[in-house]
Amino acid sequence: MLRWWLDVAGPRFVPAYLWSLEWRVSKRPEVDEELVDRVRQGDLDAFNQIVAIFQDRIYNLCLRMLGSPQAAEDAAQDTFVSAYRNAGKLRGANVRSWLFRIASNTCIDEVRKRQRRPVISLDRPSSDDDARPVDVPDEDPGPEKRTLQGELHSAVQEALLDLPGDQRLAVTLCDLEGFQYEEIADAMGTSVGTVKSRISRGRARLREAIRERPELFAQYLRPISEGG
Amino acid sequence: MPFWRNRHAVRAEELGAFVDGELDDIESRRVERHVESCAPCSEAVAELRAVSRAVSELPDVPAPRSFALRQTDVLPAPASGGMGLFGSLQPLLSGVAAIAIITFVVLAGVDISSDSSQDDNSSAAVLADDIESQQLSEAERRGVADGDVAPEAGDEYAPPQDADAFGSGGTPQDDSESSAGEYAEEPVAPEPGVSPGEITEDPQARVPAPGDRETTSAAPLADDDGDGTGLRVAEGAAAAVAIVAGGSVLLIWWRRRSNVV
Repeated sequence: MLRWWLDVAGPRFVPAYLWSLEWRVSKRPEVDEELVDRVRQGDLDAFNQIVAIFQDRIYNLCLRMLGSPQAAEDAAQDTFVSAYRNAGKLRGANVRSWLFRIASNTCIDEVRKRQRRPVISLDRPSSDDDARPVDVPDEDPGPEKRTLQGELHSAVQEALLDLPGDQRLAVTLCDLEGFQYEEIADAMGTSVGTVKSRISRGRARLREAIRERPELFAQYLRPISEGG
Repeated sequence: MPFWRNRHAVRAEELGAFVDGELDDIESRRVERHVESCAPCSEAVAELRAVSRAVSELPDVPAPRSFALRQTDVLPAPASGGMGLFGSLQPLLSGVAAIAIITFVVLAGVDISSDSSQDDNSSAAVLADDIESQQLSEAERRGVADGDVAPEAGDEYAPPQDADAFGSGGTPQDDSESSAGEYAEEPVAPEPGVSPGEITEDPQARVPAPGDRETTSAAPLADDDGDGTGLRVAEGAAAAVAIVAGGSVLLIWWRRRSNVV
């Protein structure tokens, strides 16, 4: 019922906390425990069912963390290979948390590798380049809105990529994947306090990006300011 | 510096947690009351929510392909490369290495302690034996000298003639250091025809005397009572086993580590 109401009404007319709650729940697919047991025993078919459930989410996390479709594809593949090889170490039935922990480590390793040895990404657009391979246009937003949204998404993605790796991961897991702070702490292998701090610092830097382009973010600022 | 830092009762982390609904009820109400009465914090909360929504509304991109694994994708790692036999032997090798190292340490400790205890016991008797041995060897020397060759001068010792000749390259030495007290340290003269490097024991030249410390300590391995040589052989074997087994374990660990993605 709540989901139907949200689909009809949309986030604009729904209190922010309700929208956030429903949106977070919707990104948590359930996994059968029997399937998890088979994965633990090294059953490749069972593992591939898990892959089918989570591959889009893992790919999106890698994409937002690395900013390049090719790098994200490689990181996602590495994540699943590593997960299968360590399937025996899977404790409990929380496959989602386990997979995201591996993906987080893979992405952070890749980010650190790039920091040590900077590479010029052919996928990431330069400042005067209009190509935005990461963005996917909405279904029929109209040309003007599509252009505006494309610009907005590109600005957000670039601002995300300018964050340090640990802040980027914390913000992405929180805002894009809907993780709670404890889950983020588990995925990142750190404390909840550190997660709070990383999210806060990351968002503070993203706020600067908003302030530089107020026209792009007006649609987010207005309803929230009005609605509190 | 952000406007709320050090000036507000609410920290930046708390504002973020408030936006994410991560505060408990009491904290949440406290922050909410503060935000309602504080324009900068109210603006900050609005901007933080905008940031959060902007990130959350980044479009979901479907995976460009299936990431389902094939057997060939996962074959190398579970098999750990081509080290199946050695990989399965790793626990055994680790145990062998540990036992060998412990054995080596124990044997070396026993060896050292036995050597030192022997030294301690003998050192007490050394001074007492020195006088006695000097007297005995001097008496013995005189007995030999009286029989064949007369001593050269005074107390100077002249070795027996048959034991005095060195090999082809050797020359008889009239060493002034070869005093009566150092007789036992005099090199044993080889038999004629023996090469210079080979010095054989002459039973006449080396008559064992009771309390002759120098004679017994001159050949620790040859005159061992059994446990010294055995200890050294066991130590060597334990060290060799420890090195081989430990090296194998390290090699296996390194290869496994290099195979981990």
